[in-house]
Amino acid sequence: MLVRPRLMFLSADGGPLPEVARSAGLRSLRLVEQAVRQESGALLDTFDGLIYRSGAYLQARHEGGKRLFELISLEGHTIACAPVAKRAAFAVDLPCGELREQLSQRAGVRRLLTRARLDTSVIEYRVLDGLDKTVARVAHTCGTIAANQADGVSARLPHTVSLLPLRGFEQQGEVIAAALSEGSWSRVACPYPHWMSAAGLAPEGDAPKHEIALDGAGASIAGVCHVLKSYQHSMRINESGTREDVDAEFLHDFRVAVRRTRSLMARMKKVFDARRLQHFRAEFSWLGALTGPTRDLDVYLLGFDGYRVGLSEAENQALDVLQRFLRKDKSKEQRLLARGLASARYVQLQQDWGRFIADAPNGTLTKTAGQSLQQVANGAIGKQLQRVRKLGRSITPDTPAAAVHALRIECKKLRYLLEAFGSLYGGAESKALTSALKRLQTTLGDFNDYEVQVHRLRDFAARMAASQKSAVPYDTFMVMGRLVERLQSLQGEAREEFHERWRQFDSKKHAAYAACAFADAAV
Amino acid sequence: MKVLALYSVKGGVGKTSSAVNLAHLAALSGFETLLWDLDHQASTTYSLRLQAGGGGARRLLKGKERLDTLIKASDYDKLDVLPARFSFRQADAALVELKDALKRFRQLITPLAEVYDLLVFDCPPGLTLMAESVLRAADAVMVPVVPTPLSLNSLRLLARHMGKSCADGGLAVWPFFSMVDVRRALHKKICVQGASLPYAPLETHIPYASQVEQMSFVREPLTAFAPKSVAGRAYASLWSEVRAKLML
Repeated sequence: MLVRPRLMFLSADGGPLPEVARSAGLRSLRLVEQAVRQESGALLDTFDGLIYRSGAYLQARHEGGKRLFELISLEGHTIACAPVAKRAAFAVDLPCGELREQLSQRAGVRRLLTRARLDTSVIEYRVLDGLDKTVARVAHTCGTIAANQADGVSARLPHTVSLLPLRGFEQQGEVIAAALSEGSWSRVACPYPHWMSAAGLAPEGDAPKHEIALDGAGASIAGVCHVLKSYQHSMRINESGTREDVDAEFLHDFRVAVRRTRSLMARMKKVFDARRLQHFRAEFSWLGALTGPTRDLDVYLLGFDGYRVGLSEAENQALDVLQRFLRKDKSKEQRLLARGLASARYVQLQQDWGRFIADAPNGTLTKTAGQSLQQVANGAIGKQLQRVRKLGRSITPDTPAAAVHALRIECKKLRYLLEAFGSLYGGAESKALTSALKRLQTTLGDFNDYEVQVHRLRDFAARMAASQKSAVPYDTFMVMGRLVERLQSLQGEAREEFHERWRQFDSKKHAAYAACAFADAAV
Repeated sequence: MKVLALYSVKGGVGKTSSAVNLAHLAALSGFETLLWDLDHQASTTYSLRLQAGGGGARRLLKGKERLDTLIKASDYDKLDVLPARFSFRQADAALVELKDALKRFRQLITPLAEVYDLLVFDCPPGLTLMAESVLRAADAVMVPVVPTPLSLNSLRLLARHMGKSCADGGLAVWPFFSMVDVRRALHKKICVQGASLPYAPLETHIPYASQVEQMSFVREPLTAFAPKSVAGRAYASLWSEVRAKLML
């Protein structure tokens, strides 16, 4: 496919384009109107703007009775374009080809959401030279844009001109571009952020910031509450997507925010009033348990294609029974989850928690609450690091899986602390420690996933045998047995990999950095 | 990338109009198409509102000039043109100097396969070294044949000259009747009753029509300005036949 970059221009007031050419005195070039069309289209992205962050935007439009998705780079060329079915909601729903491949890489498992709706009028022109040869194509778009939400009000779309110099006529294209720039048109790399801004939307979506700017010298309670507020914001923005099961990432991000909240409460318990904190720790534990089963089933369903690798067609068919069982189970758990998130208990929890973390810095402070955030963070991270080291150094090739799992949990707590207070620790050494921890966590995560999957597959098999009205084919159980064997073999590989990962994490270099960075501790 | 050559030993048989219309129809069908005008008379180039280039044939054939810098977009989406060069009248003299003259065009067009689905050559008439090199680069050669004894003889001449090398190189030869005037008894006789031809002709006949001649006046493919005309429909039918044979 030929890549033909477009030059883009914006203007607040527009004006007829043929006039631009005339007033610029372009004697050898003239614009001739070719077609006028009305278009209803949309701009799509994931909830957290993954497509935009990957350097592109996705526009839906109708052409010849078909709904087209066009993926356009921020530099202005079409990366992929294909007709899509109305029901296509995820990259995997698209027909095989470049568009599906590109969107799978960029959006992953996230749903492609309509972020804004466009109602536009497009006038197409041909730019002709003295021989009446077309040397460029120009499209002038104007109309309205509205955020795709209940309170989305139509706003005027900035007048947009797309100029496509034809191959071999780039010089003439530059002449037209110069004429536009001399007028009221500003050349932009990409119109998308400007369009989104007109609709009152941020092109990068609603994802919360990963690193929170903190004041290390300030009171620890203020810093900790600031971090906790950002976690609550993350829960809030993922709440409706989780309840409505828009895509699996909403629940994942919601759960991460809950886990981080619980972890920080536990590590920072001396900063708060212990009695009041006890209530919230119990309530967030309930929330974690409420979201667990659905997430587990999401993980199985999202990774189901991985189970199918290397299986024969007959074995794959046998596995369909398991997939249907999991989908049914997921629907049931999702209903329970949605009910839980709509419950008075949940609403009350969020209200009380919001008030608590807003008021805590202004109330009676514990001794630790008044100490500097830097000292408190140093103490918590240093202590957690020691706990991880002690556990990690005790792991041998024969250590039971439960102990490896315990190390995984402690590593997770350490990671949450390092990320929560990341802005207090700059520099390459801090990043290197976090990277080594991430790699270790990946291996520990794989080890644990295989362990859990083996147990769950055995559990599924028992439940399928007990609950199905019609008998489950024998082949299904046989394939599940083979899967268990494969998972156990993968778990063995993860265990072997662990020792190298641990050696990298527990290095003298990281120990020296930790001794220095987390020395001035208060807790 | 499929490579199609429009070629005939004889001139004035409808090569250029066929090349332009078939390339335009290919682009309309969604294929990235390049039409290379090898005829120094530049009729194809002129018909698509372009101007012939001025560079030397020698430099280009020796690979000292990048082909992709010479390509121009036509007025039609997905249809690009490599305009004619006046210097191509001396192409044979340039090719003679090259060791691998017969493989030259195949080497030159190889990089184009990354961009184009179809390359159409509009060749000048005559049994020349350049023609032979182009035919070696092609998957198929379409030979327009006016239903007259002289035109049929030129096809037989081509068959005698190219017969063995065509078969060896896997080149398909697809003659088709062009400029057919059914009011003429001779045309009717040859087209309807058949004639002894060295290759099986395509089923579609392109009629003699004044609209085809207008192409050089309006400087557009007939399939763009009169697609529903008798000749326009005939070219559409010819393209369907060729597309199927090329397995595009």
